[in-house]
Amino acid sequence: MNSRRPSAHDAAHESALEELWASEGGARTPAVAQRLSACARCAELWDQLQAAEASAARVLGELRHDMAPRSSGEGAPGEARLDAMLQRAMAGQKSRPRVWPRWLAAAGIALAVGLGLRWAREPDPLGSDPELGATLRLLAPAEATDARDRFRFEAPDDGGWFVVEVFDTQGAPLLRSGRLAASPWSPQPAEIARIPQHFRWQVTAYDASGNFESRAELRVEP
Amino acid sequence: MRLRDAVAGPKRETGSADANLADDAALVSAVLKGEARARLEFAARLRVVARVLDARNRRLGAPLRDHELEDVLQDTVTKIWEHLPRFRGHAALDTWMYPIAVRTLSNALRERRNRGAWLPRDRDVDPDQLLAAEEDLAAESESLTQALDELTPERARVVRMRHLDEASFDEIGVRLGVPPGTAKTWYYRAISALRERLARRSDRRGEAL
Repeated sequence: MNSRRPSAHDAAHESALEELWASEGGARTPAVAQRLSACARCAELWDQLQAAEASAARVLGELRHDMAPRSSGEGAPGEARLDAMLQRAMAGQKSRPRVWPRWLAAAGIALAVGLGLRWAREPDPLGSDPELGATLRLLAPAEATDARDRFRFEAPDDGGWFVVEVFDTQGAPLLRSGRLAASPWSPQPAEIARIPQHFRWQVTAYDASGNFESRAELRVEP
Repeated sequence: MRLRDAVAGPKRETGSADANLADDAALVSAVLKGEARARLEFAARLRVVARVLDARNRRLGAPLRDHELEDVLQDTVTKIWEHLPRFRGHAALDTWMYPIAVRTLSNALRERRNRGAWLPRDRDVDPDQLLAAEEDLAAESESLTQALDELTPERARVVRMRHLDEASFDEIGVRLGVPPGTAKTWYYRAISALRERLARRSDRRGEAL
């Protein structure tokens, strides 16, 4: 028991403390200090008041920071498809399943192996993802020795736009183009200098309304 | 002007503490009834969620790629829809959706980390520390939002004006049509009420453990 803080805390103390908190604006004025030294429970409540204020400042400060639009003016990923996502949620559909049934996973592996063998026999696979990038074909750079000043790809001209992204081999994002109307994308010299010898790049195609259409990637790896 | 009159004022920019709470409640009610126009407006309000996920992912060093982040966005939208009938309209919609977004993102990152798919790219960055901080924010924002939701709309609004809009007491006074000293007193009374609710929530958690 703290002899310097005889605790005779009651409802009257509590309302007096809250009155003090409001009138002194949360500041530890002499009047507040006197109250806190006289009652341990009042001191505890004062700490809680400060913690509540700090929590409001922290959480709402994070929210303020997070909801600011990107400085580039570009939308956040998925922003253009929110109505479709909402309708999917309303229809009771979850996100696409990430855990496949065993028979489906086995069939997928068999298909992937089959496609892999077929590509191995073809002279110009260029690494495009057959599922996601059916309408996209990434051309260059394709080898570690290729120049990185122009990222070239083939894509249908349907009035949409493209984004080129470059990642390191562990998937860390390195570069991202703005919206491109067509191939190629020419990064700035300072950006080119940031591309390591081995990397992965991808092109994402969006339609004119900003809806995701397809994606293809190419690994420039040993 | 009384505070209640000020709350029912004209609708302001989304995300500001001036966003009209009555409009938020009416919008949610219309969406739950399946009105198509309301659905479109609600989808537009969900832009904040997409921005929050994107901003937090980038602040963590972008461990999720765009298409993975879109998956998290779909999960978040689904959870918001599932929780929407519980929206009381005391908190602003943006504030109410925030902890759901932060929690869904931290769950996705935890799952990714457990799979070993989130690797440190920088010696100075520890993914486990980042993830723990993200989970702390999720828990803290859940508690705070629920406590704000239990306050009267007027009190919650003063707290949001102060910390979401970074408004001075002079500005809050102008918006509410009261002297700055009164705005300050209202704010500190709101924090007192918030303390009580946060302490009660903390006690309930302690009993449950």
